[in-house]
Amino acid sequence: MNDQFLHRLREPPPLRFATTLKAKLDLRAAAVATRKRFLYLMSLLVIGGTALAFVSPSVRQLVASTLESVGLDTPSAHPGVRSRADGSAPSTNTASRVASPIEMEVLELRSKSVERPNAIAASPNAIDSRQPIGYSDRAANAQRAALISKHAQSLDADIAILSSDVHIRVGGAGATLAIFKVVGEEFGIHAKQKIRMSTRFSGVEDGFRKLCRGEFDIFGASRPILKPEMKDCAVQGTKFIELPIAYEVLAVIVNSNATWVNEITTDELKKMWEPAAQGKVARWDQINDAWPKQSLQLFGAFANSSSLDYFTDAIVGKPKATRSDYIGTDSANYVRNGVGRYTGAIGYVSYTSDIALTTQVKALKIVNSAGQPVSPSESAIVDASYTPLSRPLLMYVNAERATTPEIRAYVKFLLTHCAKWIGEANGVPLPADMYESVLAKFASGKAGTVFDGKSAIGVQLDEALARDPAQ
Amino acid sequence: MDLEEATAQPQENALAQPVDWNAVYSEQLPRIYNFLRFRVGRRGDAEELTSRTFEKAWNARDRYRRDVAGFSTWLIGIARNVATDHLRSARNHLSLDAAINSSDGITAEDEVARISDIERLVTLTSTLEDREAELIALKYGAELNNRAIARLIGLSESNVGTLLHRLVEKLRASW
Repeated sequence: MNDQFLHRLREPPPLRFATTLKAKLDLRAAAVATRKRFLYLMSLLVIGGTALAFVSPSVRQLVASTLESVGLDTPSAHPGVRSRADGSAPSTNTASRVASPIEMEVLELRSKSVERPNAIAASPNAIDSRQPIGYSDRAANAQRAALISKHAQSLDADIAILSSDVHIRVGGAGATLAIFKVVGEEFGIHAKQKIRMSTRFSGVEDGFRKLCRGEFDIFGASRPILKPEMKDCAVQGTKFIELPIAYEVLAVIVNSNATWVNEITTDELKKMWEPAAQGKVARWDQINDAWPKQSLQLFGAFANSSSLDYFTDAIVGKPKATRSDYIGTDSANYVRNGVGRYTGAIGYVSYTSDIALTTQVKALKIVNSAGQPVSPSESAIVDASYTPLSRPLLMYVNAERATTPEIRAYVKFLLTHCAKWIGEANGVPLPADMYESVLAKFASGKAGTVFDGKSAIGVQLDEALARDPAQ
Repeated sequence: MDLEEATAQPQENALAQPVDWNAVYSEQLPRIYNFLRFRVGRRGDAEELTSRTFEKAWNARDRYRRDVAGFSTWLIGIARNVATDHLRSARNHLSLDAAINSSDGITAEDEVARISDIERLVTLTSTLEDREAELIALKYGAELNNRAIARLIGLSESNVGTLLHRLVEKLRASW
């Protein structure tokens, strides 16, 4: 072996790989350019509109009356907003702040950024007659504001007695880690930085091990604890409280011109995505005789993403078991744009992605284990009929640490506030009344799991919460 | 375009012409792919990491519209980070795999005999310090000259030359 030998070890990248990657990059560059143009135009519109509203009282009046006519309160209708406009400082008292309609406005604004999936049902390509998802639903937002308001005093009381520099150790992966990160940041602000948070990545098996060893105070998991892990915790003498915090939901999308398909079975998805399909399954008619001889383009998640793990586990039966000749990306926008570009394309994305910003894609109904085709929607997620591509995300709290004010405060804050930010973490919030049940469970301190070491997919959470947990 | 050449290119020249990203892709892909192949060994892993590197870079490539040299350096920087992250996470799995393999009675020598030269090389470089393994990948995978490597990793050019010489000797002894 010498210098020349080492140089000769170089090889050209495989042609198939080079071509696929180039196509992917071109698509991505086009998507970035479109987004930039869109943002530029929106900025111009916002600036122009604001300027117009400021200079013209009649325009202000027109906007106010229009908002009222569609059932939205205008800022001038809120005493809280008026007082800020008068120059007074906003109240720092949580109860008084949240009790006003301002919180509802914030929730509405947040919800508008995650309400895209509604438009799947509202778009011309809609295939679902169910009620749209309730993010933007005024009643749901009011319930969430009420939840915050109801628990604000006890939350503030816990924060008030915190000693300085307490430490909370949190672990998670994928969607749970993203939720913990965003909640951790907001909690730090809320608790006036009295708390030192360490939020660490940990795979599910390793995370449960660390929870059992007492290395994590809280661990977020995408599946319930298994029996060997329960045994491990029992051996270590660690008890845990199991709390659902959100749902993780995947939508399967196709091009809106794919008129031959409105629903799909998990077997059909498996035929498309399993490793054995690589290089063989390239047309729709190879999956189902009734489908056309249309070439198939697959868009999915990167190899190390939790979406890919979940999708392959739910569809193929084993995490990471996927063909590799698909276009993989960490961007839901990219999947959406790619699927919108090719008639024969199909892809999967987190349910809260910006699917509805385009009418070029539609979400497929998934045929569940009962044989019913079900579209992704909040009601279908809550009643566990949209399976297997919907699952609860769970939080396991060290029961001993749960009695400390810092953990009490963090868990209360997370359960009362996280609905506002879960969309940013590609999750779907629980209904407000379910968060109330989860808070009650946490307050009861009942340790153990209600899933008996089995999967939570297809389990209705409200029923599960009513069960007595077993350690 | 070599990293070294790109750096030396007159600024006005770079400013005068629009960047041909297709050409940049064709030039940089083999460099990045081989750097990562020398770092991780397996072809599949190298493809995935190359893909990730380019996707990250392509999102912000406009920033380098007038400075392809900066883009090339930046690209190799991303590839280095991507490889480091991958190796860090792979190391956790490696111990598990090693535990499983040991029960099968397969020795490291058997394993090495089975795999290709490049994978054999990576098996050997994995026993080196991380920085040393990276040096080999930058020199023979990315085909950077000692001056470019020195600039990237913050050593002197002569130091890089000496280190590489010793490393090749060490690898030769174990080959």
